[in-house]
Amino acid sequence: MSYDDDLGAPVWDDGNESSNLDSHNELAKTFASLHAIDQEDQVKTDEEVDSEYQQEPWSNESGERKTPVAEKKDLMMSLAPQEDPLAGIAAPDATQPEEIGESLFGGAIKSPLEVVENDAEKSSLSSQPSVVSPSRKSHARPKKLFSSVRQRRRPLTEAQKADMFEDPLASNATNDKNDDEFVEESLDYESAPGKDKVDLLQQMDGPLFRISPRKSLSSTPSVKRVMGEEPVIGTRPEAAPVLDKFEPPSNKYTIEVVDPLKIGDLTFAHVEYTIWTRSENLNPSEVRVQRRYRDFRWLYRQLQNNHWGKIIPPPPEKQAVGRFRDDFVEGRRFQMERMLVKIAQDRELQDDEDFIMFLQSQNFSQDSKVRENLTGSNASSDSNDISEIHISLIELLGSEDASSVMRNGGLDESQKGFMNISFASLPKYVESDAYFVEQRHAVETLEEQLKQLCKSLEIVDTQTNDLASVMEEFSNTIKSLEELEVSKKGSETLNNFAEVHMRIKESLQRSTMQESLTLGVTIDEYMRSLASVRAIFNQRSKLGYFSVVLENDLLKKRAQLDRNSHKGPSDKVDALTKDLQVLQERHSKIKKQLQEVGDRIRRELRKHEHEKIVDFRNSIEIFLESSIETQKECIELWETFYQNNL
Amino acid sequence: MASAVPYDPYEDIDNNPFSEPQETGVDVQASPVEEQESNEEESTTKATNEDAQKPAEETGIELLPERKSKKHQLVVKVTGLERIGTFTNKKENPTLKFDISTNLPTFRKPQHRNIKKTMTEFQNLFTFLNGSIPETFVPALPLSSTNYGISNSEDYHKTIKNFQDWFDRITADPLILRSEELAFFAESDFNTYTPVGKLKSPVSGLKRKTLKQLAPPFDECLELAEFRPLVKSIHHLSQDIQTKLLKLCKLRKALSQDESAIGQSFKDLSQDSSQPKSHSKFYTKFGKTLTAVGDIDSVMATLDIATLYDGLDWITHETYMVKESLTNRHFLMRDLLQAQQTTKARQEQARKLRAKRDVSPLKVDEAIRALKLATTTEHEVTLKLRRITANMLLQKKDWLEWYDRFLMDSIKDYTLRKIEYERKKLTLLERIRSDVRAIDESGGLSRLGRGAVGREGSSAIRPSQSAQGDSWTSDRRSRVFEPSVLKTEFDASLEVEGEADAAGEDQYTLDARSAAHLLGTSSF
Repeated sequence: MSYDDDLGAPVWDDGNESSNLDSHNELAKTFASLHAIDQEDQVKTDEEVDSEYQQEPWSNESGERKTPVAEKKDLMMSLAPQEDPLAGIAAPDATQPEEIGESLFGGAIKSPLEVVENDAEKSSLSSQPSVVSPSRKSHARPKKLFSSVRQRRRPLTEAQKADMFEDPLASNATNDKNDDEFVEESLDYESAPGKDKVDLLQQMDGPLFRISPRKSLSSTPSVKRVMGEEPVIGTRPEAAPVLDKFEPPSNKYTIEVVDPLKIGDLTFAHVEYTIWTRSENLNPSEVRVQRRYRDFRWLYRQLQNNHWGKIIPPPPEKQAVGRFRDDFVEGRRFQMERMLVKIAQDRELQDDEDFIMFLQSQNFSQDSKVRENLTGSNASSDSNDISEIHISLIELLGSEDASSVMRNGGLDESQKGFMNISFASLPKYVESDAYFVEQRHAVETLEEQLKQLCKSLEIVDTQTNDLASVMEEFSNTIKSLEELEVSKKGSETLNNFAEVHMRIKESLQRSTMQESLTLGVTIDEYMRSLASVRAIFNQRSKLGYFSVVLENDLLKKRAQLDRNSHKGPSDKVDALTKDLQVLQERHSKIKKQLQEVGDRIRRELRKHEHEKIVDFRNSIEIFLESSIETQKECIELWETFYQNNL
Repeated sequence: MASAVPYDPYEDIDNNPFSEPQETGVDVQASPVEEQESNEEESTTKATNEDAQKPAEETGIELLPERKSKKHQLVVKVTGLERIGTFTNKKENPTLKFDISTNLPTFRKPQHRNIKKTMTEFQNLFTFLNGSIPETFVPALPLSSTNYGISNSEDYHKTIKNFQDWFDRITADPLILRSEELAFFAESDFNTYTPVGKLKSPVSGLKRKTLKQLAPPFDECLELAEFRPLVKSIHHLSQDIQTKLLKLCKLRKALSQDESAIGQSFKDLSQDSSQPKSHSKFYTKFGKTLTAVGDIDSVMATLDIATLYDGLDWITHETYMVKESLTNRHFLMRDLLQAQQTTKARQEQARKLRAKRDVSPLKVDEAIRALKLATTTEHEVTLKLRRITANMLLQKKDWLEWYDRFLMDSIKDYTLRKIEYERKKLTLLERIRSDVRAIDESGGLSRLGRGAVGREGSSAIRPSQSAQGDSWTSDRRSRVFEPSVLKTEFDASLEVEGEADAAGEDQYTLDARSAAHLLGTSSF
């Protein structure tokens, strides 16, 4: 939270502050408890939460706010009908909000989002009784409303159950908790988590980390050395202390992507790769699954959604033509393997539920849809650009609020004019923190430079290949001159001369392949991860944009309330007050998210920079060493030729 | 009557005052003893004429009296080269300076110093020699400029060396030596020489082209019959190799530019303010090294062209000249066939006349005269052809030797240059290695779990090439180690500004060895 001030201040200052303060007084009560709510939420066990929730719907009409949780619940409940005045007229279900807490059918009618899921579910899980599907979906949404365990299991086949929900390390209860926490994770990530949670996490991955021998080989000493001894390279004073904090990568998993196999007929052909994973974390400890490229993209999007502000190791780029050429498939395989390995090395990502599911699920196409709907990640509608992002409202606001927002057409609904054409200029989020502006700029410059570098490398690669082929021609011509046998010694020399050229040609081809495998791949990966970096900047500015939108809404609402409250209390004033409260709450949530994401981005950027530089330098070293070796080989060839023939 | 005596076509050989081809005016002074000998030898040759296996030397010597005495000498020493005037003139028409000392009677005095001749004059001389001495393969003129590019010392030395070679080959050929034209050439004023002697041009133009299309006449000398196709193949293959080499070098130059572009990209990377300073310095250095490596590649491409391409160029010209000389011999053989036919026809005529009772003595005389003339011509041509064949057989050996040696020299030159620059490249790469390695401890050998080795100080990373031989092999090189490979032309550009080179050695100082190396380039 140390960035609270510089982050928040300028944004909230511009002209809004006075009104903010006013509202602050009025709504102090609501806001004051917000933070506490989240924390307490976490501390509560599932059973408690479940029971509370089940009771709440029936008691909330009384309007009493006994506990923070109840208050929150109540707020949403009571405001729900007012948020959707049109829906009430348009649909016969308008009365449904009252039943929102009811276990079986409440969720089904709530939002278009869920209807879609319903269809998918019905069609995909034919064995499932039709009655169950709505309930299944509703428990696919955040579980606070129901004790989801029971309902979820019923419709699934055994295999699916095992893949999806059984955590090898944890009991069922733990698993459920994890699920719950998972949904909340990004919300609470930076705020001090409850003790239970900490303990749980420690239990889960503590021992595995600590015995990792690689810790001693961490890159930290290198940095010190740079500072202390390296005269040419100089020192890195400001970076060093920061880098000290980086955790060494932990190797819980051994992952290999193997056996690319072309599947399907002409129209639907694709390549499937076998992912072979070994880990103590998994049960069984060795798993083989088939995945296609699209699934890797899904994983990327899903992780991006689950961890805002985290730089996710990116998948390779899409490519339309030549997808089945061997070298392309091989390159892609390699890149995807690196992606998985990188994810598995990251402490946060390696325990991600979706990642584990990705490694294990035998029924991926369904499981992935379930997870996608659960988190609202929109992961399968994947755009080409790695840096494009989608902010899941479910992640952002929690399921309740998200569904009501979705019903109204999204957070920025008020900004969209008639038929999505906006007449007023959209409010723009101006990045207030110079750090982010600067970093973003730097990333873009770097990307440009790397692109240039990459292009040069490619040209060199093709030209070297040309060179090799011309060299072969050259050598063949020399051979034919040799065949004239003008003199014995002469033709022997010519023969060897041609031979030397052939071998140099081979070594040239080897070295250029090596070059593209080291420098080329590294730069390519660097570029893609920069796109991933841009994605987190986009996340931040999208959040910023939401916050600005909400702020506008808030102002409007408040003005409306002011006008109305002059006339004395009425239904309308009550409704407006509730509205205002909802908005306030959303606003504060988003603001908090913005803050957290900002913090996380800072951390991630430093880490990313460090990692990439290590990578880059390693590949430079390999490149250099291999060119030195090539050079030696070349000299040796010539020297030998000279010695033997001239 | 005279007609009753059966005519022996070889009868009047002894009476024939013609014993040597007239075009080589120099050997008029050949001693009568020699002549006598040659005539005697000739008759023995006649006897064994049918035998193709006869030793060529024997025939050669007695047919070529010039080759017998070694008393005439011409020593030419090329002392300098001047390139003046416009660019084209500089390139295509340089002026050669040379000294001559000789005991040839055609020269007015035995010593000539500082003779200056332009390339055009050389070409005139060459054309004349080539036309006037069909017996020999006149060495093709060297290129007026090398691919090192004009106006540098390498070009200067190489061109001088080439001309020296050419003069050496010219003076080694006794037939050419006796040509008066050499004296005319040497004694004319600067830039005034044109051939004095009358140039009897061999078949040329359209006629030559047409005749070349016909199948070559039967050649009783198998060696030469095979020689022409061989030379022709060499010619074509050399041209082929040249084309390929040129392509190779062009590609290599383009490649070197792109390598430099990579280096430049790295330098750009270092401009990025977001990079830590240490890395930006490293990137700069790395980028500069890559650029320098690219430059070395470009230099190598130039050297490839200058060594092997130029060598092959000369070979191409040579082979062309040899081929054309052999073609000229073919024409002569055709002439001989024609002459033989004429003789036969005349003989036939004479026989017819003899068979008739009532012939006028006038007619008989005429016929006999015509027959004699035809016979003489035939004899002349036969002799000439034999002389040419004999000389060419000798020359062929010389020429093949020269070709072999020259090609090997070119390849050697090429190889040496290659080695030198590949070594320089290695030096460059190795120089940056310590920097790359020093950045972090987890790199280099530590990757293999041998971290402790070679970390202490930069002394552990020594250049792998030294006077003790190369670190990667125990073989001793046949040549002495040249310390110059540890420095490159691009060192100056590598130094990061504001940072003095640790070695502190001035790269421009010329130590004794590299000076010797520089001056001794003509020793290969």
